[in-house]
Amino acid sequence: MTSAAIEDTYWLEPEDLYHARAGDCEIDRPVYQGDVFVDVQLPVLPKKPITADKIELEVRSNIVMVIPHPCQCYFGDKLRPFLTVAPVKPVENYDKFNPDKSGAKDKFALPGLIVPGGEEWTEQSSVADFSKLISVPSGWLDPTARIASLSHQGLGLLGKRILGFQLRDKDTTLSSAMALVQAEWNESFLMQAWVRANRSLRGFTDWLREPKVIKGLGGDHPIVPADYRVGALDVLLAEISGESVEEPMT
Amino acid sequence: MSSVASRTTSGASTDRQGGLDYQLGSAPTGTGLSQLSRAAIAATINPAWTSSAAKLVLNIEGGDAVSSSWLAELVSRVVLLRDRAGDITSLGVPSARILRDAFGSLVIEVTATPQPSESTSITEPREKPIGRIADISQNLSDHTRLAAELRGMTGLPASLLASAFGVSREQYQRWLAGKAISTVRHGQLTYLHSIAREIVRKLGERPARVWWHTPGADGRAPEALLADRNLGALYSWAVSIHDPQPVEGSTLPGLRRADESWDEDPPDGIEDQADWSPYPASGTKHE
Repeated sequence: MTSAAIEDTYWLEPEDLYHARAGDCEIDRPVYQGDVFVDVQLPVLPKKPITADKIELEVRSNIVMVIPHPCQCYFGDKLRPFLTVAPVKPVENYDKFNPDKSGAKDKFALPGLIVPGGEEWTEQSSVADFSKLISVPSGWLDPTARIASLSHQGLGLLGKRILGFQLRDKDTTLSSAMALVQAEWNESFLMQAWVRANRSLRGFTDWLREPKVIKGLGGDHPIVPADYRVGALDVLLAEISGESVEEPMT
Repeated sequence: MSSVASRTTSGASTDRQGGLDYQLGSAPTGTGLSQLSRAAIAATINPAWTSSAAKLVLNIEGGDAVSSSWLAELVSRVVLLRDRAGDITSLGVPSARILRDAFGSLVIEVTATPQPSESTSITEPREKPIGRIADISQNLSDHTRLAAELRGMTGLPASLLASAFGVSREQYQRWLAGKAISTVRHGQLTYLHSIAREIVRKLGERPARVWWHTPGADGRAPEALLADRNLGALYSWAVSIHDPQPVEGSTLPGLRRADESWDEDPPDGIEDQADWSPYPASGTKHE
């Protein structure tokens, strides 16, 4: 009898939830689902319907989390003009998530989020609020203002929580959600390597989708790199960077 | 990474019966290990350590919840100790859920077969690069089980499974023996395990093993995709197998079909967007 590769859960501790936080966030990593940004100005909409053609709106600086699937963040080599984000707010605790953490379906827990406050960074229990989603120009999401990005497990959990928010789905396991985004997760590293080598994503999509001969894969036959994102990430990274990839623990 | 466990001679259970005690130092703040200082830890090496079989018992005493990262740190230290003793034959690491839910006393037993030449040097644990705590937490918890189950579910030789990960057969054998695995390889192993498990669930154990050798419409067998490291195509093949029992109780147990389509209408305003770059001068402008 076999058991699931990843234990199913509605909760991840910070060390499992995040790929990077605070100063560990690298600016050349692509803007991705689950990324958290500070200093994003969001309008405060009036409660009463707007009747005038033009009004003044108050804007407030917010922390936000990117919501769309990675494929919905980019179109080819370009970041989509608008991205949907969820405002992030601090919370005292996570009691509303219930003991098994399956509750509070309109929230995504960001425990241990490290946020700038005054001159120092502080750890702050936070949630991303799905009930106040808003789309903003993607140019508002400055890579230098990114304070967190999710791990592969974190992306899986975000997918699981979004399904709960939208469909009340309780059947998708963390393991299957992770498997669904495995290729996109690996692709994020390819995108980052591409940006490091070329300073922008220009040409990446064509490289990923067009058949080509790559040493170490498919013999002398052309292969489509996208098909090998999961199984041969190391080879593809080496192809992009021109360097062998160090994996000290293998 | 916090400091490696250091030998102490002032512990409460010092040098019992010829063994050695290890105590963990105080935890650095801000690393998720804050509970470390609230638990008293003693790792006592059984006197049998110097004989053909040794048992290392870590007895964690403390009334507070033990976080997974904290245990991961502890396990990493077990590995350091283990490396002094040779190959591990079993590593009784509790599952992540148990780790998270653990209260009070918890015991991890490690049964090892030491190599005589190394048994004398255990007083000076050798540090080695062991990566991030999260890596350790993820990697040591189950990769040995995953590697073993993958062999069992597929019936494929270790050499072929190894080629799917781009490693040698010997490396795969080392994973089976509990040696460390990189985060990238662990992700691949988890992914392939999920696929193999799905095939067993749909077809049953014996037919699943046959499936790996059965050519598809293009004349290629799944095992060829493995050798080719094309795990994305393998996933597509696995989810396309007819599911005889798509619902168990009220649960949909299977892997979902991923939408790999790329062609769609360009979003409004995309023509004004530069190729993405974090550098304002060469890509998307942050105005």
